[in-house]
Amino acid sequence: MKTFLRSLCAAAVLGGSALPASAQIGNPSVSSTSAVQNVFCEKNLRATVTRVSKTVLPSGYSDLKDVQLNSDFRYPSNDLPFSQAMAMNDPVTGQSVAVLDQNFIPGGSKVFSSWGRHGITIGGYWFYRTGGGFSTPIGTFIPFEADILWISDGSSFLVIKGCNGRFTVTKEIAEALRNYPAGKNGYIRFSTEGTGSAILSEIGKDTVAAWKKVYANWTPEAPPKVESLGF
Amino acid sequence: MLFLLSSGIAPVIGQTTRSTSLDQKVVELKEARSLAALCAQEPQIKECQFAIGEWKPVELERAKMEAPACFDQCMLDVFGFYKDPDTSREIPAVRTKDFDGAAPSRGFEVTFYPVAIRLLRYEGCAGCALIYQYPTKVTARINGQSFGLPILARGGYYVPSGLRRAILASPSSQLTFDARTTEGQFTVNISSKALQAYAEMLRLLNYDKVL
Repeated sequence: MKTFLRSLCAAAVLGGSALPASAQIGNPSVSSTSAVQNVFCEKNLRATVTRVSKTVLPSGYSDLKDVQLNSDFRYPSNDLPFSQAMAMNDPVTGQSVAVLDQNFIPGGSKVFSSWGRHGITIGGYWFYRTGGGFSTPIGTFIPFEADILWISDGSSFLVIKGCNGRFTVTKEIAEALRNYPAGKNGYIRFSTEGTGSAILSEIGKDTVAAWKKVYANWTPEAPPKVESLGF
Repeated sequence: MLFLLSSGIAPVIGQTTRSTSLDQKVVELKEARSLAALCAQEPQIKECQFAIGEWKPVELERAKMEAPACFDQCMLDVFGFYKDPDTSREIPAVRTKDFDGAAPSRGFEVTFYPVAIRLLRYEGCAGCALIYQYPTKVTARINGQSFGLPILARGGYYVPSGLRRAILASPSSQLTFDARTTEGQFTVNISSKALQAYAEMLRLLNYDKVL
């Protein structure tokens, strides 16, 4: 179970920085009415190569902890803080900013979400207990990944389709999360692969507050390098 | 004729009198995104006039012959030109670390460039993520003087001419940085070996002639 959690954590961190080229924030061609290309969801198994530019963060994030994702699956980093905006440096996909959230019943089911600048990941596990009384109780953990996400946006709501627990962030989604009322817990609905039910899950108020930082309005621009400024 | 002659000379006189220190051009440095680009735009800046950089390619090549060149990064506390593996640029720098020997996975890393430093706090352990933190305020202290270091970029701070002057005047002095981060206030001690290497870099690149 611990291994599963670790791999989930690692996948979520990757989701925080993964960025399909056609779905960058600020790309005017991406909206709820047009299809969003998701590089993770090729249903037809054609061999494809998609080149995506590594992302960089502007200097406005210098107050955040900068997590270096340099430990692979053999040495998982499972001490990342929840409900706190973090800068992340992924050796493969580049720099990003994200906030992690978890919602759980102690010793029971858990919903884990990673809210990245360019990608959202939602997954977790359901805990079922059978037996008890005169027989030994058996607990079963069933992992899940969300594939449809509902987000409230003022007087309307967004229905976002993804797969394998991953959702691409568009300008519209970023705006909805940035403008989410702060100071109290938020709510999302999601349905998981193969089921039609839409589960309601709470998002902590600190995570909601961190959305303002993660989805802040800025135009992607490579910051100057210190070595160039100093020499 | 007299008018034409005087109007032709005036800009030359104007340029020499308008010579300014880089300290007054920190905003322009950020906007130009590199010291070489700023020096191309504003050659009247003292550092551009007297010091050696990419805007003086012949002098720079001569200076490179007097210091080691290393791929990616040079040894700690040693002045050398390190070759950026991506761009193949050769950048003069002195890299140093300040950490407690009992907990070497936590500490500070400082890289000195001629007019800027990169300063970060690192913290890691087996099974933890390696986390960098960039101070939100840095003050340098040397020989009873203190200098505020303006932030140029994430983890990048400008080294004012007063601090460069103080280091060149006494490179064996104790230099410390007071670094304020979201985790608290820290004091970073710079070894005298690293400071002497930085002074050597400043002298080789003629920054002692700027002051």
